[in-house]
Amino acid sequence: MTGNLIKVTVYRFEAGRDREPRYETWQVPSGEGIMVLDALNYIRQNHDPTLRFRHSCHMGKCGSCAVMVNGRPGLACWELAVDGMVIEPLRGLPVIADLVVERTEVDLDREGLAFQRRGMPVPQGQVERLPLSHRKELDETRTCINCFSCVSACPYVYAEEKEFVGPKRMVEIARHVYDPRQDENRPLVVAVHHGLWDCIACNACTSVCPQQINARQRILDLRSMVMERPGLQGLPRQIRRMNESILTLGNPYHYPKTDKGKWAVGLNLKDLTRGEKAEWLYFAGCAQSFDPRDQEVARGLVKLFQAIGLDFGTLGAGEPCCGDPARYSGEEGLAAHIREQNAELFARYRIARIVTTCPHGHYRFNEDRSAPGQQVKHYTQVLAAAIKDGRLKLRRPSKRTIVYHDSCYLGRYSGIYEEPRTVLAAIPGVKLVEMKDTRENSLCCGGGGGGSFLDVKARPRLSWVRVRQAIEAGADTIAVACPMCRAMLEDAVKNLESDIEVMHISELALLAL
Amino acid sequence: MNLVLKKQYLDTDVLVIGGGIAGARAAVEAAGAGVDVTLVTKGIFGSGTSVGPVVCAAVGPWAPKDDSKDLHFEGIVVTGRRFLCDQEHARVLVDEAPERLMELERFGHLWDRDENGNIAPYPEFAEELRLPEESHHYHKNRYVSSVREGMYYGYTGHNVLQVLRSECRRRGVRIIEETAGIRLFTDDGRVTGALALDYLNGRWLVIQAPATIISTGSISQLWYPWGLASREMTGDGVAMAYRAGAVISDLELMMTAYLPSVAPSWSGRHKLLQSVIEASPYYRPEYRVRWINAVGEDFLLKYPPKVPYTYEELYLKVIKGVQTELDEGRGPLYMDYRSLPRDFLERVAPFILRMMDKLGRKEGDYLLEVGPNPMWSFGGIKINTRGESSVPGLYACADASNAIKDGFGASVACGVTTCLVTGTRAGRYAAEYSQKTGRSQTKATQVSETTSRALAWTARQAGIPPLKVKHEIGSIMRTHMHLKNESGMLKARDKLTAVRTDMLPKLSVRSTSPRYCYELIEAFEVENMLDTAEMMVEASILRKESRRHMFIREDFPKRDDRNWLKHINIQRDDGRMRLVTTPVAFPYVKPDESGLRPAK
Repeated sequence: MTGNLIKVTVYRFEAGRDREPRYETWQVPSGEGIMVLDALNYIRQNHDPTLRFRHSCHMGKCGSCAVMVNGRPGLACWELAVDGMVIEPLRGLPVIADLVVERTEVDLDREGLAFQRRGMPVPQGQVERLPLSHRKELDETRTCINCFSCVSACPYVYAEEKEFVGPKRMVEIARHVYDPRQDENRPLVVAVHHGLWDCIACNACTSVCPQQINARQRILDLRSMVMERPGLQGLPRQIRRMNESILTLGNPYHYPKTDKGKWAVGLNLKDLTRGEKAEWLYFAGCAQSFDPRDQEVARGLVKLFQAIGLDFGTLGAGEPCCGDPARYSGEEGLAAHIREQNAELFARYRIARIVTTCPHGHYRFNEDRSAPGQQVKHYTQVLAAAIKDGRLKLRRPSKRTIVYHDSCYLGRYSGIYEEPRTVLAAIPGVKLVEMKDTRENSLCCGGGGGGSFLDVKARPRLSWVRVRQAIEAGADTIAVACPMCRAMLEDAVKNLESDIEVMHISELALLAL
Repeated sequence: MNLVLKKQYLDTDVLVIGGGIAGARAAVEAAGAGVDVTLVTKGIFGSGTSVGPVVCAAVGPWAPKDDSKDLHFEGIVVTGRRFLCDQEHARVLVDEAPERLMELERFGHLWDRDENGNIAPYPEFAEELRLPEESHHYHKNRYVSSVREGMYYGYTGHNVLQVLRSECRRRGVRIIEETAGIRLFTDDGRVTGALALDYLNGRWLVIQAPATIISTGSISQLWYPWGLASREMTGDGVAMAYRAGAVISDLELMMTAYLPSVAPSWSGRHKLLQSVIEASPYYRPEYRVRWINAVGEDFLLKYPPKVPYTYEELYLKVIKGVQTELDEGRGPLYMDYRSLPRDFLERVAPFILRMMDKLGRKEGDYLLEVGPNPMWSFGGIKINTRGESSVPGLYACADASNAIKDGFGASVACGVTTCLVTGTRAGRYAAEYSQKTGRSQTKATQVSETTSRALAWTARQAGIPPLKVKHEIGSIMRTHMHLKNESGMLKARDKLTAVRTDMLPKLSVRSTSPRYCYELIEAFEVENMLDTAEMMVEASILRKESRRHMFIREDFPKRDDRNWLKHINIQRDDGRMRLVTTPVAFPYVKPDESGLRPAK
């Protein structure tokens, strides 16, 4: 098979023998359909037969061959080979030799996570009728091929001490839960004992799964089920209180309802609940409305909107919660209630276009779009569009070295990677750098999925790991697009006693106005 | 560099070599009988060819009312194998398959259900290619699956293997992964265990066991890298058994498919297993799929006959067409799906559509490379229905043996069921035997013969890497043992002899570490491939006929029941390969004059 030659770099290391890893680069012929595995086999066959890696079925069904390809886990037999690619062993698992890693797991069989049929066994020679509810979810969990890609993508690989058992085991637990022959409480208890609420819903697992299993959603579904079974006593107190606050006070932070909208006092913004009309609803969001630091950001964003001539209004004290914390903590009932209420609210005030500060709100409103043609944007998208068509001119230069921390909800959930960078790049004089785990591989700040409400058991804390990555990248500023990221990373910076600054993209843009 | 590997000794009652569905089921059965069971598997437990299968055939409660075990039996013996088959194996298979499938649910497995909660058969597999010579035959929708996807795809094999893996753990089977069986120990005409290479940790395992079960699968990687099966399938079990004196039977009968795949010829292919859109233009002409060569010709039109009447004619046409086009430089060959709309593929073959999307191909431009994929041999270690080989203490099952394998048309979907039926039996009788027989002391020379050979390979500095020899063997098989004729097969014989005399003595393993030293495994694979390939070639030269899809040769293109309704048995006798034919027995059905139907 002729064709062009591509460069392939492979990690080499043997535990117990080498002091540190080395990288070797080879030339490999390429062409249509050439996969990573083909490149590795070529290297073994023509250059170095001592290169070690696993493979077996060659058709994406056995899970043996998972490796990191350019920093992202995937099956070697199923990922296309690209020029300049770097192949490394799965992150987070002990390396045995080259690309071969240790695939050990927590033994959950001892805790009862093995098939155990409820009731009498089926007599020999017979099959039972099994009406299958949750058929789609059950079948999904049964296609897991144990490749460890999700385990490797999960940010908990960076935590040495943790309770979270990882996405793969959670999918396995879900499989037992959905099996109509088993008592679902037994595996649910296993999930509760192994960090069910420690998952930060960053979606890394789902985004790398070669079988397209939505591991994140399976975990959130397990949370819902535990919530529906108070007898299991699995619900963390902080999560219960958070949802109570959303229900009674319209925000998860226990602030009185009337405090919402106070950040805009004196700004004379259009109040859409008072009959005023505007093209856009600026939905500040709960995370932006109460803490003084966050309120500053909202006010700054307002200045930017005014600078570009955006016609917008707010909902004042009547701004509801978007409901995302209810959704990701498993409170399906509350989330559905909020969705209905918000749909009514938007219909009442004829809201067609929404711009949010928070990526969670952006995602939630996009998912729950009630009216056809309703548009939901995140503020970075609005600013980026304004830069492109010249409405927003950032003139004041800055000497900052900025690294953008991709928000999980903007990035992996919604596919928005470029617009935040467009805004930052438009600031004259700044140097933009990237962290090790960037874009689709971005490492969660630890604030999602309830992480900012709980003290999840992860040591070192994920936010600390992320800040260290930012420092390693040579930045003096971490740009964020999400109030959770802002809070988590700023807290980490304080603890790490670093000089690095954490700022919203809007704050940086405002400084450059 | 001299790689001296540590030796570890292990005593067990039943040793299972091979951790696919068959080996796992055998281990489960033996452990259930209360004996100490050790299972070694060459890859990770859960990988291998067993992950591939999509459906299982059995006349269970899900089969149509007008189906029967006799009909299933006939489908296998008469239609699928043209009477060239061990009928006792077929009888046991159709009789016991339903229960073996049903009891899996007791271990936690789940067969697909319909909306009413009943096991839902998988209708597509009941349709078959019906050439004029078989127009009298039909078979029933008796196929079950576990998580199907589109048509002709699913996770049945994977799910069955996962459940058996859990059951092995539950029953306390000692599981040793990334460990290959290398050589059987013999004492006084019995097999008493095996030497295995744990290449993950870089150590020898000297395993003593009164009963050893070989469940290592078949031999498709002889045609390296065309082989459909996983990379482990280099015929290790067949070769080990042969060297221990066991009879090998029917090895020359092969199952070869032509499946869409994407990969260069120098690497393991990506086999998109089970495409509904079979290549033959005579199969479902409404799908309008042709095979084309690199210059866009519907090349099969160039090879007679225009309309095949018999399977032998069809297969020879396809084999000759593919081989000639490739030899004459008009490859690669493609399955032409360009007339298929995207939503059709989405519904029918989402797996193929995912590959198209990955390759960046758009609707109207769907092409996939196609090539020969030898899948497995219908033969192997000769066993009776108790899984006993011709050597006491040595058992075998499923693809490594001459049990019934997954076929084509009416004999399709026997893969998983054979693994379960024969695995269970081998496990049961091996356990029984181990309880009656004591343990033997392994002769030290039998260990050192092998370990010192391995040491010599690692000590040799300049030489031939095993992977190169593997490719050479594969090349010989691909060149001469795809389109078969006398002169080609004689060339294959000579070339294989040359590999043995010229290349084997120069094997050199370059690794400087025993950790995950797959090179060592490959060196042993090469020895196994040579022995197995030689058996394959000799038996193929001997059989002077063609038979349905199992054996096709250019120079004897017709089925010859009068001379060749025979098994070819191979045994090592005093160091030499001896081939003996035995007539096929007809305990249940006999062929009529045409050989296409049972005699009245």
